[in-house]
Amino acid sequence: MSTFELSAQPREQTMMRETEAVAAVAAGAAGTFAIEATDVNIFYGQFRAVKDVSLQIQKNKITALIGPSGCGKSTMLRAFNRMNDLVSTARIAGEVLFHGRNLYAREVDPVEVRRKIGMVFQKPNPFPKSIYENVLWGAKINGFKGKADDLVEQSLRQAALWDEVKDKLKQSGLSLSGGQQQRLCIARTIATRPEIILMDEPCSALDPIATLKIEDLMRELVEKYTIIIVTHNMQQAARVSDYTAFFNMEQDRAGYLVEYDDTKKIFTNPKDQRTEDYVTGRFG
Amino acid sequence: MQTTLKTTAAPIDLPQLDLHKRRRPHEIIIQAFLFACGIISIFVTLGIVFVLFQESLRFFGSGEVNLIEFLTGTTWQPAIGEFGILPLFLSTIITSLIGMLVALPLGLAVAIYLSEYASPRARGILKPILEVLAGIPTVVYGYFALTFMTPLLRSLFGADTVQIYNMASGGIVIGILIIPLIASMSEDALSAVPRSLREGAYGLGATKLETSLKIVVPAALSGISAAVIVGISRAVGETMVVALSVGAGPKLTFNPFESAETMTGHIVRISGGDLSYDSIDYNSIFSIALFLFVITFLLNLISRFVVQRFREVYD
Amino acid sequence: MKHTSIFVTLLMIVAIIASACAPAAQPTTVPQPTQAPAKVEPTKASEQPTAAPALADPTKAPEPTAEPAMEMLGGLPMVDAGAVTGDIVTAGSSTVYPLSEAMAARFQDEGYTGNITIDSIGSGAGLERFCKTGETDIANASRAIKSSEVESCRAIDREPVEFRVGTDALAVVVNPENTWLDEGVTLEELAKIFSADAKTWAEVNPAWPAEPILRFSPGTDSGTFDYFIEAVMTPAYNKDAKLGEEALLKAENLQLSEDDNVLVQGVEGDKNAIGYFGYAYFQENADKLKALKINGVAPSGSAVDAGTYPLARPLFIYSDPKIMAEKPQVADFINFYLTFVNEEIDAVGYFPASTSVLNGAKMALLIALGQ
Ligand SMILES: Nc1ncnc2c1ncn2[C@@H]1O[C@H](COP(=O)(O)OP(=O)(O)OP(=O)(O)O)[C@@H](O)[C@H]1O
Ligand SMILES: [Mg+2]
Repeated sequence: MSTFELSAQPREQTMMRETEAVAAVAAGAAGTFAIEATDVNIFYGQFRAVKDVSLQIQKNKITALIGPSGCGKSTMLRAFNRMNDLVSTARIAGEVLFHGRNLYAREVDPVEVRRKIGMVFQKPNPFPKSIYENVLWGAKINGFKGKADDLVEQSLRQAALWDEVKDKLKQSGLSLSGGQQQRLCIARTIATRPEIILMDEPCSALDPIATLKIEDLMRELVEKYTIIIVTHNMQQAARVSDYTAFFNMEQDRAGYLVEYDDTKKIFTNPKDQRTEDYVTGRFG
Repeated sequence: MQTTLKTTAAPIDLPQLDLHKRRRPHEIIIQAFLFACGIISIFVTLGIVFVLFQESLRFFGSGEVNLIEFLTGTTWQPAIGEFGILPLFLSTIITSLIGMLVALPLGLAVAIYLSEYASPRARGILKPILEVLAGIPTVVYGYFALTFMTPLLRSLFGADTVQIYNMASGGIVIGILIIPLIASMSEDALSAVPRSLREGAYGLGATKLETSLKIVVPAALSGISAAVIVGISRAVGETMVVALSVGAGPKLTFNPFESAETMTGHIVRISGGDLSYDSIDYNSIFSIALFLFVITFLLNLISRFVVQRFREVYD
Repeated sequence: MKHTSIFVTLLMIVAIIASACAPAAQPTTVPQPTQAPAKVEPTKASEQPTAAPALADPTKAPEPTAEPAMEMLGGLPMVDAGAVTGDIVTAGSSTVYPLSEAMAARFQDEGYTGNITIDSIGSGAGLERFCKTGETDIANASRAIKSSEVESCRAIDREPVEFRVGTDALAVVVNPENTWLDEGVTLEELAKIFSADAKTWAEVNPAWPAEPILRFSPGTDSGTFDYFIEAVMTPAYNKDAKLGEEALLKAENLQLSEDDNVLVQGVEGDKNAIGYFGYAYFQENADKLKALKINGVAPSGSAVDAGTYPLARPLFIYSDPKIMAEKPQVADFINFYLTFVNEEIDAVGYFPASTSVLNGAKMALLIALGQ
């Protein structure tokens, strides 16, 4: 730790420049970014939870955010669809560009943002309604006018849940197992046809088999959607994601981005010593 | 010998593990005290029920009235031996219904505002106001009905339509009276809905209103129903407001702008007046009280049932 | 601390006096603190002087209290209110209530320091408390005691003594907007108006509006109700009180309340309303209500005196010689009541009993005390 403190400033600077370079290269290959954070700082009251983060997310890729607990991963993730607005003390500085527009511009409606950028949470949180209604609800409030049955089936199929629930669509969403509930939550997010799906530790409440199912599902979904996932599970990040961003914090507990690169590189050949320590489990 | 000595000595040297029951006198005393408190409240309730039944039995045993007449008769005028509870019952129903029509939407709106919308500051102002409202003696509400609500209704609908004593005014004020009750119970229920549900809704692009009305309120339905039923019990049992503003003569009418008399209103008028203790009139008010008791008891049962049922569905 | 020491001293005084002159202090003499001064808590005593003047007639200048010397006045020994102690419990007619209250206020004004309770519960209940449960020292009644009630009294060893204190005229009142009864009503019409035989005014008299009659009556156990049945309903129903009462109680839109204010508000609030109650309540609300002429005679002092107003009735208080002997404060209060009632009664809104009647009451008191 003491070495970090001594050398934190210069190393962080170099890291930033490198990260930007990598991202820029990737962007050049894929066209534009799905969403792009520039110099984001997020505060809870006086406390800075996220410090100077710039991050470009690739389209139709899975990007994993990893880092020690409390370093601001969830905060950063929620900044992508303005969920932090729901916390009265939260404040953000910097830009988050989506389709070339700053999500935090004055005229942007957070409700519209969330319709385009959906979210799946750590703990499965299906509504206390039937499975059918759970899937349909988000779509309906988004003005969905098509055939409800088709949408429900399609979304549940995409969420790899259809076969398990097709005979009990009228049952409460709460009657499902944890893994099924989480897939139901994914299904209802898909049903609103977002562009980006944010997932905050979606598997932390699930057993390994259910986790693998969700991971497979993510690999399938990424054909159509851009996915950003927060995870504490190194293997999961390695298995499932295309890119990985490693966050860390110092004693001020303000999270910053250490390294952002191809997942393979992060896990096999990280540039930063701190990343290596973290991914190999030697951290702290 | 030495070896045997050693082996027997060993367990003695070990600190003995004592699993004997230990006496803890203060625990016993406190337990007994709490038990006594529970028992007392049970006995008080039983005592009340006993008295109600006893006096009612005397009433029905008098031969002047039988249960069928009591339940189906359309006139209540003890002085001439008419004991049909329908006019009193109907008036109770009408005033309570009006009360609930006022209290439910307003109370729920307040609850939703407090739990979903209000800033901590607004909540800090509103909640004490509600508590004050809840603490105002019901007599005051009674005079409020008589001197404010009735004139208001009469100016709106005409003094020819709205009688000076009328059920509408009392009902509305009962509604106002139970708003704090409904609001605070519903707010508890709404606040108990996990934050994750709200986030789930917001994450799908729901507005605050959609989240509140379509997710949070349905999720809190069991608690809200309980609040409603407690509110109805309160409305049915409310006495001072109806005694002061609804009227002093039982009347079988569906018109809320006419005067009538509720069960509680009649009891308080008759018992507040002069009545010989062993007259049938006197016993008759116990039969009304018993009837009231049965109603509120049933409402309580229903509320328990509702809470239990919805809990199954939603957890 | 101070209070406790006062209390202890009082207790000691009580104990001494009680042991000194325990058996029956002569009630006709200036009353001595025989019992119960311990009940007069210091706080209460200090409250009364402030509370009492509010009740007293504000139009009268506070007259100098009579000297505590014993003096014969109107045949009765003069009472020194300041020397009277001990509580007095009364209950009964809501009609007599304001009069008794005025007398009690004056009694306290003039120095009485005990507690006097006056419950307004109706003549019937008042007599019941007096005769059956024996809870009260005095019963207020707006009708003469019934023989059955006298019997109950005797059953608990009480002999009711009647004191006439005034006359009440019953006012039949309508809303000021009522124009069709400006000429008044006859007793027969009044009976029909208050009976189940008429739903609308037009059913009593075709010239009147076809609007429902909204009736406001004192409660069934009040003396006023009894009196109305006796004086108005019974004559119209073959002199059968039962039939008359039934006819009234079966009427639609009938509100019965012991609380005369409920009646006043009810009649004040509705054009089609009619009600009746003691004349005092009408006088208090003369600006809001109209009193009807009955058989062509409007209620007034002269009409009552002349005996032409048909709905006038006597007001009584009842007590018992034994109570008066045991609780001299009761005798003193009645004495005071009879002595000064005619100075207060106008303000309360009733009509003074004639001198001869009042003298009869005073005689009754003297006889009772002489026992
Ligand atoms: N609503 C809030 N109000 C105040 N501070 C908060 C709030 N939410 C999070 N924080 C603080 O912000 C910092 C970052 O929190 P965040 O939840 O983003 O961490 P995280 O990286 O997701 O941690 P974990 O891996 O444990 O989920 C923490 O110090 C946390 O205490
Ligand atoms: Mg987190």
